[in-house]
Parts: sequence; structure tokens; C-alpha cells
Amino acid sequence: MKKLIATAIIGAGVLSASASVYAADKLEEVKARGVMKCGIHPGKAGFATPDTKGNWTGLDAELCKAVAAAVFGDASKVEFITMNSRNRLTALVTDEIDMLARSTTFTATRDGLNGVDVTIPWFYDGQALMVKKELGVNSIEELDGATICTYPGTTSEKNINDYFESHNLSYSALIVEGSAESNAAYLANRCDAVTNDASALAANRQGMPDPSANIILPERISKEPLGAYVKQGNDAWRQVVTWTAMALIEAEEMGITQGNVDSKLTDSKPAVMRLLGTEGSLGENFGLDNKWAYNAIKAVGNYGEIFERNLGKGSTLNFDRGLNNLYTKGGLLYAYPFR
Amino acid sequence: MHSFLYNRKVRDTLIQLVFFAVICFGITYFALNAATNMRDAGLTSGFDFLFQRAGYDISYSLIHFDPKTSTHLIAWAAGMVNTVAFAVIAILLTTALALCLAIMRLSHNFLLSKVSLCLVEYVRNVPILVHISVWYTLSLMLPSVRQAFNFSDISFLSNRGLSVPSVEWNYGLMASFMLITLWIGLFFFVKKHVSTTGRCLVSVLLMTVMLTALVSFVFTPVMSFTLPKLVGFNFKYGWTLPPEFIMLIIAVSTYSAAHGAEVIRGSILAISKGQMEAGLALGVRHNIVMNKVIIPQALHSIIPPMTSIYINVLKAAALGSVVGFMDIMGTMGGSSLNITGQAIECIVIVMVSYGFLNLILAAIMGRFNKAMQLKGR
Repeated sequence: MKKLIATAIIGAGVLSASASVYAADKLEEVKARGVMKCGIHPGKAGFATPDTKGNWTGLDAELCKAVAAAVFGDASKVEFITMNSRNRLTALVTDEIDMLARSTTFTATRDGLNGVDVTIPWFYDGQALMVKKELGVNSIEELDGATICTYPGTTSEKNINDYFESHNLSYSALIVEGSAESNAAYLANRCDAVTNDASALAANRQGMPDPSANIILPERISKEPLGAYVKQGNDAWRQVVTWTAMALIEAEEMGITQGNVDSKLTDSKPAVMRLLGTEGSLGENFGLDNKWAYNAIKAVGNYGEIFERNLGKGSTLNFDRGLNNLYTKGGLLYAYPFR
Repeated sequence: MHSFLYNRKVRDTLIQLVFFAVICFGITYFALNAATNMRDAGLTSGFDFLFQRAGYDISYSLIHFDPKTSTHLIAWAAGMVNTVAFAVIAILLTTALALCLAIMRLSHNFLLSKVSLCLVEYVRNVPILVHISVWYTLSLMLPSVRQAFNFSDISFLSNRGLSVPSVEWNYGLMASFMLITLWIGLFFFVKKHVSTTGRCLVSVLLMTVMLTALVSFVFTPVMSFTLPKLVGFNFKYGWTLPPEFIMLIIAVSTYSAAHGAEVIRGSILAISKGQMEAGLALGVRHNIVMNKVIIPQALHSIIPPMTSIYINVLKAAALGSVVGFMDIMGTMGGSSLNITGQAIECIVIVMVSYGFLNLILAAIMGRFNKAMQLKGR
């Protein structure tokens, strides 16, 4: 009995001690650990897919690599941890991961309520609906009374409800948790349409027996700025993630690529010198090496290169840059000035 | 003082008090710790969200649920009703199937017993999630809505489910009252009749039907049939049972019945062989000995393990979300959680709900167990 009480008291003591450790900023923690833990999608074509050797590629995965390169000067110092849509934000709050790059939409509710902070949009997406060609449907208006498959734990469920309500259309939802089951349900006409972000639908369509038999309807029923989240209250770390993403966009604006970044080190343009750390102290201001942006670009290339490699011409998805082009080319990408 | 501490009763009470205090301390500590951490992380907590509009659709709800107006609380209730409906049907099916499989397994007919053996061994050794996936995939192989199996325009079967005509009885108040009193009276009569004569119920059932018909004839209820009809994308009107619900019930019932069959078989085999031999020696037929002698005795040891199988059936409702059947886990622990972001509150509600339902189930089984115990033990 004495032993039991002693154990209980010691146990409680240890627990409270561990709970009340003052948390320093995440940046120091990551540096001390020597590896960055990044939460990603278990498998989404173009965003996060593991190859046979377990190397992750994709728009999201490369952002993680870029951040690791900026922090450690080595893109391989990242540990990828797959997340489902339910536990992804909780994992940030409980310090299971340092950053979340899992095609997660920036919303006011998430930013305000869940103890997490947004960084910058990494991919401008929008929710769409996919139907079979044979239905002969060309717009959402014609889907009155249809059954629509949605995915759980995403904003799509609420968006579809809002859209149909505001357009006075009726529908019935079918929320199928298993992605295999969900695909099977759509293919077997258990539901008339499936809804998700356009990028996810396109990725999904690639895996279907006959991709061309499905059309993604033109309407985008929501704005889905996807990007990386970090835990709230870690400002230094949030700045690192945010500005690393900015640096990759800035690199594209300046025409700096993975191939020519070494030769750009001797470039005498002030803007390039500040970005690549040959002048000024931008990196040091963030608590990083001055070569941070150089390391990130060297590891994964600029935004345009990453996009084309994973989603655009260099991939099977053949996505248009659309909104994800530089502001000078009709898109929304606009890096803040590096000065 | 010394002797006071060594008094057994006092010591036992003290130990229990200390133990209870430690547990209370633990729970309080974790709750406070969670609260502090949530506050530090900027998480708002509370249950106000229950009264906000849900704003999502539930694919199949037995109570009226309208995403335009219903709150998260109603969504939870819809999930509860779905869970209970699923559990009641699945538990009844499990019991019937388990009994069949057990009797088959014990039969002297080689084919019957081996078929049962194979079924039980296959079903029991495959994870329940796989069963659900397989049955769901099978249901998807049914024709799509436009090519639905048509049963002479009265009901339709497609991979959107089974659509049957809905029937509405419009009894007057008087007739309803009379019928209900009649049925209650009959129930007590039957109970007495069976306990005194041991007669089978066919005659009583016949009487019930006839009396009900008589009342119906006297009061001529307004009865209206509504046939299901294909309108646009789906069958409207009528009443549609979705494939998710049906398949989940089939998958969970077969899986649990395989476990139950072994429980029943074991309990029957535990009854000494002499009982059956004595019955047969008296010239009583095998199945009558089984029904009147063996199974009543086996029931004592069947009920407790069956209770835990039933509890597992109820909890399996949560697996419905994999194929799109929304029980409490799908509504409160799924969509509501995701839309409001109140993870801890939603999960607590889900836990308490399942706990509550299972305690009720356990209480019912406990009463049943008491009633079945050997008198005089």
C-alpha cells in the first residue's frame, strides 16, 4: 500500500513536471532536434506521394524539404508523418509534428479556434464537383436532387451544403470515410457526383479505369487556399515557414532556378544578393543561416519548377497554373519584397 | 490507535478511501491539465455549439433532420436513433443466426455440421472491417438507379437501396386506444396461458390477428399507400432503406453470430450427455429434448458471454462511417467535430453516449440473466 501511494505521488509529480516545462519557440526546438517533423497527406497525387524507395515527392512534400533545407542546409533532415484529416490539426497542437503541409484550407475558424496559425497560401484551389460524362450534366444547377459523395473531416461537406442551400437546390449527402469505398461508390453510381477540391478530384480521376469518362464541372463553389499550418504562439517558426515559401516564389519572379542558383551567387543585383545571402542579413534576422534561401532553392527549385514537376507539364496530372501563376502572368502568387 | 488501525473493517475502508482519492486526484489532474493546455493553445471550449445550426446533411436519418434548420444536438439525436435502430436489428439477427449455426454444428448430419464449421471458422477469423468492406462492395454491384430491379412497379432494388411503398395508417383516436388496450390485455393473457399450459402460440397469434382485423373493420381506418417513383436522380416517395444500413447489419450480424455460435455450442456441450440420453430413453424426440431440456439449462452460461458480444455489436455501429452510415461517431464524432473544431467536447459526448447505451443493454441482459437463473440457487 505504501508503495502504491509512493508510486502515485511520484507519477503525478513527474507528469506535472513534464506538463509545465516552459515551451521555447519551435524554431529552437527544431534546430536542437536536428530533424523537422512534417505532417503530410498519406497519398495525394501531385501533393504527397511516396515512391518505391520511400522518398516523398509532391507540392506539399517539397515545401517540407525546402523548410528543412532553409533550417539545416540539408533537405533530407525532414521526417514525414502521414496525417488523416481528423487528427491533422490536433497533431500540431500536441507537438507531434512541427508543420502541417497537407492540403489544408486556411479558414477563420481553424485559425481562430484550434490553436494553430496559418502561413501563406501554397496552392490556390477551389471546390468542384465531378460527374460521369454519361449523365449529360454540364453545371451544378442540373444536379437538383442528386446524391453527392463527400469526404469526412474536410470543409467540402459544409461548402456543398451552403451552396445547395443558397441556390435552393436539394441534394442528399453520402459521407464515406474509406477512400477506396468512396471511389467504388462513385464508380458504381451509388452517388451521382463526388465533391472535393479540384486538385484532389483531378488526382482521383487519374486513378480511375477511364479518366476521360469523368468531367469536373466548371463551377468552383468555394475558395480553398491550401497551405502550411504551424502551432500558435511560435512566431519565429511561423516566420521561417512563411518566408521559405515566399523565397521560392521570389526565386521564380527573379528567374532563379535549381540549375542556375550557383551562378546567381555571383550576381551583382542587390535583390538577388539579399535573397541568396551574399549581402545583408535577412537569414540571420530569422534566426537562420544567411544561405537559407539559397539552400531551399538548391534543394527543390523555385515555385514554378516545383509546380511543373509535380502537377503541370512534367506530370501525368497536367494541371494549368491558373491562379497559381505569378501575379505578372495573371495568377495570385506575389512574394513580399526581400529587403 | 494501534488496535484501531489493525481493525480489519477500518483498514479495508481506509485502503478503499485512499484508492478512491488517488483515482479522483488523477482524473482531476488530467482534466485541469487539459483545460490549462487548451487555454494556453487558444482553444475555446464549451458546449454552446450544440445549439448552433449543423449545416451538413446526414445521409440516412430515421428522425426528421433538415440541414437548413437542425442543430448539432438534433444531429447527435439522429446518430443516436441510427445507432439504436442498427443495434436492435443486428442483435436480434445475431442471436437467431448464432443459434442456427450452433445447432447446425451440433447436428449429426455430416454436411450440416461441416458447413457450419467452415462458416464459423471463416467468418470469425476475418477482421470485421474487411467484412464490412466486402458486403458494401457487393451492394455496389447491384444495378444503378436507372436499371433498378423492378418488382412490378411496387418496389425497387438498386445500389441506392431497397425502395418499398410507405404505408400510412390513419386510425382514429378511439380505435388506437382500443387496439393498444387489446394488445396489452392479450400480452398478459398469453404470458399466463403459456406458463400454465406450455402450449405453442399459434392459436394465440391467430386470435390477435383476428381481433385486430375486427377492430380495423369496425373503425375502417384510412390507409394510404405511396409507391416509390423514380424522379430525376433518385427514388422519391415511398420508403428507402439504404444499402449502407443493410450491409452494415449483415456484416456485423454474421461476424458476431460466428462468435455467438461458439458460445452457444460450448454451453450446450457443457450440459451432461446423460440429460439427452435420458430424454431419448423416455422416447422423446431429439429436437424436443433439445428445446425443452438442454437449451433452457445451457442458457445460464450463454447469457453472460452473449452480453459482451451484444455490446460489441452496438459498438460496431461506429464502423458504419467507413461506408457512409452515420451513427453517433459519424454525426457528433465526425461531421460536427470537423465543422465546429470542438474535438474534446464531441469525443466526450460520443464516449458518454456509447457508455450510456451499453449500460442500458447490460442492465437489460442482467435482468434477463436473473430471470433465467436456476431457481433455488
